[in-house]
Amino acid sequence: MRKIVLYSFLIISSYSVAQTSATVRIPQLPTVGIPQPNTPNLYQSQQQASPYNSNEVLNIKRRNEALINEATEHQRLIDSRNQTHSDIHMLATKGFPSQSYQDGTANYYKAFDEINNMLEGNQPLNLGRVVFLVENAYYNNTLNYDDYQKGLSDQIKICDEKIREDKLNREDNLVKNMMLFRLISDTLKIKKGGSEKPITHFPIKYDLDDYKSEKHFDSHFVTKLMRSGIGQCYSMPLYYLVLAEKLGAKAYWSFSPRHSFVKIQDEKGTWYNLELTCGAILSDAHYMNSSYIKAEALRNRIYLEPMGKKEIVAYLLDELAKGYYEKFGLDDFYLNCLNTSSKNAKNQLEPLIMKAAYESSLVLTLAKLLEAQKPEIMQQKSPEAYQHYLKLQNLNQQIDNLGYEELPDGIYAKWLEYINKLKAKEDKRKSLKSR
Amino acid sequence: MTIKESRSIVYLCFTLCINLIYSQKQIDEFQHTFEKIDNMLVNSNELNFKKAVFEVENISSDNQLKEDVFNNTVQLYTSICRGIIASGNIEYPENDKEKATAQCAVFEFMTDSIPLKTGDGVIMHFPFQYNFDDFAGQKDWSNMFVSTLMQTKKGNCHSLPYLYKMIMDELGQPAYLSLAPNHIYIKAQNKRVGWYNIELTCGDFPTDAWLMASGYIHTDALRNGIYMDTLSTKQSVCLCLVDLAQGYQSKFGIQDGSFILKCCETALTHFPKYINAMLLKAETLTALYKQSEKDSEPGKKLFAQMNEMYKHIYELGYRKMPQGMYLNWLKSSGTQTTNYRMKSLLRTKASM
Repeated sequence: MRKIVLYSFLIISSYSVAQTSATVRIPQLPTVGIPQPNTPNLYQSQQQASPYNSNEVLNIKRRNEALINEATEHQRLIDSRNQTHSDIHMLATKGFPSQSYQDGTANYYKAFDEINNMLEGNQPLNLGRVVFLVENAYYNNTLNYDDYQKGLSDQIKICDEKIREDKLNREDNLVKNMMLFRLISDTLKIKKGGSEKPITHFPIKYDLDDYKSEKHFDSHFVTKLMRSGIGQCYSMPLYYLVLAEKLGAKAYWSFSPRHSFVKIQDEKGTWYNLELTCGAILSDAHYMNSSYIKAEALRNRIYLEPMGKKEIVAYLLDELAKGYYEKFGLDDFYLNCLNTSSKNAKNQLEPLIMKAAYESSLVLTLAKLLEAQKPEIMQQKSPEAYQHYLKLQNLNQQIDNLGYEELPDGIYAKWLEYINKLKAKEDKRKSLKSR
Repeated sequence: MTIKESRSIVYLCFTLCINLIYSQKQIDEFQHTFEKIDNMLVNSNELNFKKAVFEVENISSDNQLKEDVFNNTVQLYTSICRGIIASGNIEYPENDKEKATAQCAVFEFMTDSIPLKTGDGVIMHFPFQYNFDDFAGQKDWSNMFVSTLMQTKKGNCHSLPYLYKMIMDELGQPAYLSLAPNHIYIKAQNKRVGWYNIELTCGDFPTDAWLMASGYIHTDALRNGIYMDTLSTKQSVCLCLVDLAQGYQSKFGIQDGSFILKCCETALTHFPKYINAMLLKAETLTALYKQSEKDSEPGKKLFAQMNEMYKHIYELGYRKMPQGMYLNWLKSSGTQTTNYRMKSLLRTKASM
């Protein structure tokens, strides 16, 4: 291969040598001007144009048309430029246009109003209701609240029966929490009186196929978990918390990078982390180690922080915005959800990340319309568009200051693999013990 | 009473007097050093970590140290580090190369053998070693000192990070002291790895999670920022103030407690979350309470103060690590393969 290349190079170089030698040898010939046709005199040609020559009339007509076309094209360009200009102005001052004309947005507005009412204290906080509202809006108001409530009540009944059977204290917070933990992560058998067969309740399975909700947006929905018995690291803890609310157990939600779990407290005030995806109780250090949480993130309380009910409801507004974005894209409603959420929540990470996503999309759109490849060009062409670039920079800085660092995909998958292995080991140990 | 006996008593009294006068003079000198450091903390433009460290070590070594020797040694170390940077052996792709190579060079200097060209040939500068015999300065308080480290090449988690910070200060690059229970280490930041930790006692780069789990740090202590946060120069000088109090204590004991408490309280005014100042204050209050008449008014007051202090410390998330555990931890930090992220990222081409 290399030889061929070399040869072809040689051929080319010898050719160029021949060329240069030829130019050297041959003396320059005197240049002769190319004969040019005389430019026809317009007046003359018009005079010569015979009105009976149909061709000539056609030519004139064509020429006129061309002139008109050119003029209209020019006008169209001016118009479109004006249009782009006003688009840019609108985008830069008002943001993305509202999607409220679309069918289904009304469901989102209704859900938002009810959740906002709860946050403002006009209505008692009801986590189960909020979860339903968020998911029902995505399903175009096709879910039935009574069915949903009944589904939850059935689970509570099972817990109650098991507590009775095991002769535990129904009023004890730890008893209630441990029963929910067993309900979600373990197989429960409940004896029935007399000759009736015992009821078996199976644990929620982990969704290994779509744990990131990438194939279907609703893979992380609690109602989807209730329908299918399959959940993941978002729906399982949230399902737990909805049930805890119904059972009267005190439990908290907590985040680690791309993950969430339940935190509970015993009567001495010690915290425990319930990892529902594998039915384990893990230490804070475990989460720090496996997902590379740095001290800064902990100090800024973005991870491993217990979130109470109000905090959770505020966070669910971010989830409402996510569903809205999935269906209708970005607009002022999306921002409104985030602003309300960040007003009511201590943890600002999610609203900040989602606002940065909005701004970055807006800045890219503006850059394309302005044909600005660099921020400096944008600043020159449209100072008001450049403001959004500055805003984006500012949001990213705020996110960095919180100690947020993106977790690579590989590490997350590795982590899940590790947790599965951990569980397998634990099961083996248990089965050996019971033998 | 024989003359001989009475004479010996007089002699005894005399020496006691001399001792008293001598220690009174020393106590005054400690007071003077306190004022110097306090002055630094009040006038921010006079903040000088190296000077503060020297002052504290000098007074605790009975004024036996020479400041120019101390400064020259830091200068010498700095120039060796400059040589490592100039050697071009450190590969780093980002645009904050100056900072990152300085971080790497000082680390190399302190933990690896460095050949130095002199007129006659090449001499080796050997790495500093960890003083396992007296890691907490319990046998001899001076084992905590940077000056001792310079003389014996043996240091601990006090003197080694102090020296690292001093050299980085000389190079004009940022590096931060950071606290863990019974421990000080370095935190640094560059574009490639973000924030990371430098552990000079074993030449390693432990992750935050590892420090937290093995260092017995409660999550609340991290949340409240009493551990594993970066310390400003002012806060670092506050560390010296508590060192001064401890130097005083190792010489004269608690006495009436006033000097130690004053050091702690001044440190806490400028660095309110300085856990070691809180701990020393609480310990001193406890000792004073034990000496006092417990039912008396001052005794009751001390008891209340002491309880208040311990409650505050507990609420901030501090939990005491037993000493055996600390020893185990130190031993494990050398052998365990923790995260060698920086080593793989800031590769040195050949062993220098």
